[in-house]
Amino acid sequence: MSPLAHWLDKMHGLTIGVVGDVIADVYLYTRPARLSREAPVLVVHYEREEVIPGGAANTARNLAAFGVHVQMVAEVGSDSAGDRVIEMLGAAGVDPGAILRRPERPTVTKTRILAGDPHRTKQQLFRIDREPRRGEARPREQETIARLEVVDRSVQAFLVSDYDYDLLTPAVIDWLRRKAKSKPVIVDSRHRLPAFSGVTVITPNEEEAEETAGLKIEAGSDALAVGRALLQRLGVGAVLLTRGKHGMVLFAQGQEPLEFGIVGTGEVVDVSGAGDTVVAAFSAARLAGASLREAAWISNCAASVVVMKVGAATCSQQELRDVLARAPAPFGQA
Amino acid sequence: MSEGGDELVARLARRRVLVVGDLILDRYVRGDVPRISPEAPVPVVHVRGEEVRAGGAANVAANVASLRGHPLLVGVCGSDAAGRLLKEQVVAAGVSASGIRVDPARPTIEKTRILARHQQMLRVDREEASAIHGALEQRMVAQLLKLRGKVDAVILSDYAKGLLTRPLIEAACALGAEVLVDPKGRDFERYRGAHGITPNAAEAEAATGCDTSTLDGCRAAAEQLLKRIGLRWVVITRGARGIYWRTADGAEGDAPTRARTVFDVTGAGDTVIAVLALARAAELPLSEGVELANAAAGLVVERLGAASVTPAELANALAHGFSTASKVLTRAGAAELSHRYAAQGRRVVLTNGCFDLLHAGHVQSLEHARSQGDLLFVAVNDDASVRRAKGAGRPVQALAQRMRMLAAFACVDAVFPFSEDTPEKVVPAIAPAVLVKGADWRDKGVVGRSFVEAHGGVVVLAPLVAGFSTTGLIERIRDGKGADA
Repeated sequence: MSPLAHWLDKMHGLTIGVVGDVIADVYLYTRPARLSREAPVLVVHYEREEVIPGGAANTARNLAAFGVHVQMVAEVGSDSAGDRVIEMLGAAGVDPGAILRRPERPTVTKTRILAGDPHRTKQQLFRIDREPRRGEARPREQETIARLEVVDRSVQAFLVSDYDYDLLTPAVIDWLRRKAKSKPVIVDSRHRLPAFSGVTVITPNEEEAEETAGLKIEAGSDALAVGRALLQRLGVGAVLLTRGKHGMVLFAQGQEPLEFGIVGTGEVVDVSGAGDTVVAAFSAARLAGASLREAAWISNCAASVVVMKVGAATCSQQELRDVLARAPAPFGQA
Repeated sequence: MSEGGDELVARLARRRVLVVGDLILDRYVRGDVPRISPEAPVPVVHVRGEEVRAGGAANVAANVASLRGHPLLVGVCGSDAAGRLLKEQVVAAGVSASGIRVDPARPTIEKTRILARHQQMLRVDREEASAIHGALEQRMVAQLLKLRGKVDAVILSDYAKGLLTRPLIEAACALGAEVLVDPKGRDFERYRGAHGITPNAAEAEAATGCDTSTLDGCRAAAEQLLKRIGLRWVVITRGARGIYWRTADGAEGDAPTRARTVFDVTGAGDTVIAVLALARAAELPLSEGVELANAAAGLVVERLGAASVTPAELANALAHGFSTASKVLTRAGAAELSHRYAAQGRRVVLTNGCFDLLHAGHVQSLEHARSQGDLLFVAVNDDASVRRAKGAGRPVQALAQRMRMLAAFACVDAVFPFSEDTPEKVVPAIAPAVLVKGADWRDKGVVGRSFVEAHGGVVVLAPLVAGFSTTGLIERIRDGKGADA
C-alpha cells in the first residue's frame, strides 16, 4: 500500500464548498439518415442523449467520488438541462439543495452532436453551445454571497471553478479573496486568473498560465518561468501548473519548483474534465492533511485515471488507491 | 364562380373538421460559428435564438382555425418537454389541444434545424415511426367513434409516423362525414374507405407509376387511383403547375397556380387539404373547393412566411386577384419570415426609412438595395418616430399608406413598421445578410453595423441620389413651384 493512501481515508470526513459555473455537457447520439429536401444538408436521426454535469458540477462530482461531502454554491436555469444536472449531482452524492434555479436564463449547455451507423464509432459533427448572453440576466450576487456565508459555517475550504460565466462577479470574487485569509480557497479559473490574486492555491493549465503571465511555454524551462511569474505576481500560496502530457509542476512560496511526469502509459483517451479532477483531488488531499507535494502527486495520479475514460469522468477512491500503489511518489516521505 | 368571394368564404366558417394525424414540433436553432471546437475538428455553434412551431397535422388544424372553421385535432405526442411546447403552439394557433393524447412510450416527433450565418447546417429528427401500440390504438378508435355525426368533414394528415393505422382509418371513415387524405408513401390502398385524396405530384407518381409532370399523366394517375381505391375524387397538387382534380364520374379540371412568385411551398399542402375539407363540409362542389384551395395555397406560397390565411385575405384574393398588400407585415412576421429565408440560404437585405412622399430617389435606392441580395425588407418609421425626426407636420402620409405604397414596388419583398428612432433593435430581429444605408451615414456610424458584421453579414452604403427629397417636394408644393422652376 502506498504511504500516501492514508490521506484518502481522511477525505471521508471533509466538507468542501464548491463555488462556480455549472455546465451541462450533453452528448447527442444520432445516426445519419439522408439528405434533407429543404436544403443540401444531412438529416440525422436522434438515438439517445446523455447529460453529464460539467464545469463546477464536474469538480463537485469528482470531490464526491473521493468521499468528500460537497456543498455547492451555483446556479442553473429552470429548464430540462438544469433538471438533469441536479438529478445527476444528487445521484453522484453531491447535495444539490443549494443550487439556485434561475428561470430568467438558460443552463449553460454544450451539446455535442455525434453521428455514426450503429455498432460503429460515432464521430462528432458539431458542438452547440448555449450560454447566457452578457447582460441578459442580472447576476444575483447578493443571493450568491448570502449563500456563501451560510455554506461558510460548515465547510473547511472553498474550491472555485470559474468558467467566466455570470456567477462569479467582482463582489463575489472579493468575498472569496477575503475568505482566503482565514480558510483555504483553491481556484481553477479560465481567462481571469489575475482577479484571484492572494488566494491559497491556483491550478492553471498551460494556456491559462501563458495568458496570465504573458509568456509562451515552448520548453520545460519556460514552464518554470511562467509558474514563478504567477506565484510572485498573484501573491498566491502555491501554483499547480498542469501541462497535459508533460505532467505538472508545483510552485510554492519559498520552495524550488517540483516537476512530476505523467503516470501510466500515456495512452490518453479524453482530457476533457481532467483539470476538474486535478483540482478536486489536490484540494481533498491537502485538506485531509497531505503536504503540498503529496497532494500534487495524488492529483497527478487521479488525472491519469480520468484521461483514460471518455468524457468528463471521475476517479473513485479505489482507482486512486490502485494507481498510488503502482506509482510510488518521486520523493521521500515528508 | 356562382357566388362572390365573400359569401363563398363565409360558408367555410364554423364547419367542424376533424383532423387526425401525425403531430410534429418544428424547431429552429439559430446561431453563429465563432470558432472550431478545442475537443474535435468541428464547428462550435453559439446559440442566439430558438423558435418552435407546430407542424404536421397540427398545422392543418391551424389552417382550419385560421379560416374560422372549428378544428378538432386528434393525435399523439410524447410525455416530454417537446410535447408540452407542441401543445402550447397548438393552442396559440387557436386549436384545442384536448384531443392530443400523451403516449409516454414514444417521444414527441421533432425536427430540429440548426442554422448558422444564414445557412442550414444540419437537421436532427427525433421520432419513433412505429405503429402506435394496441391499447392506445383501441382508445383512439373509441375516441374517434364518439364523434359520429358530430363533424362535417375528416382530414387524415399522414406523415407516416405511425399514428394512422388501418383501424384508425376505418374508424375515421365510419363517422358519416367526408374523409380527405393527405397521403404518404406508395401504398394508398391503406386509405380505402376514404372519399378523396390529395397527393402531390411526386407522391401520385410514386403510387401509380404515371408521369405527373403532364396533365395527361395526372389524368391517368387520378383514374387509376379512383378505380383502384374506390375514391370519389382525386386532387393532385403540382407546385408551380397548379392543381389538377378529377371525380369518379369523370368531371375534371386544372387550376393554374395563382401565385405570382413561389417563395416557399412548405405547408402549402396543409393549406390545400384544410380549405378543401372546409369546402366539402360546406357542401360546395369539388370544383369550387379546388378554386378556394388554390387561391389559399397561392397566398401561402407567395406571401411571405405565413403558414395559413384568414377569411378576409382569401375573399380579397378571390375578388381582386393577388394583391401586393400581402407584403405588408408586422415586425414579428417580418422577423419570422427573414429567418425562414435565411434557413433556405437566401440573402435578406434590410433597409429603413420614412418613405413619406415617394420620389425617383427612393426608387433608385430601393432597387440598388434589392440588387445586394435575394430579398428586400423595408422597415418603415411609424408616424410618431417620423414626427420626432422631421418635425411637426410630418409625415404627410400615415404609416399604413406609406407601407402600402412601398409594398407595390416589385423590388420590395416585405414591409413592416418600427417605432424607435433608430433601427438598433430591428437589425437583430431581422438579422439580415446585408444592411443598406445611404452613404451619408458613413461618418455618423451605421446603427446595427456591429451586429450584422458579427453575424457574417455586410453593411453596404448606397450611393446618394442628388436632388430628391420629401422635404424638397413639400417645399415646392407649398411654394407653388412646378418641376421646371
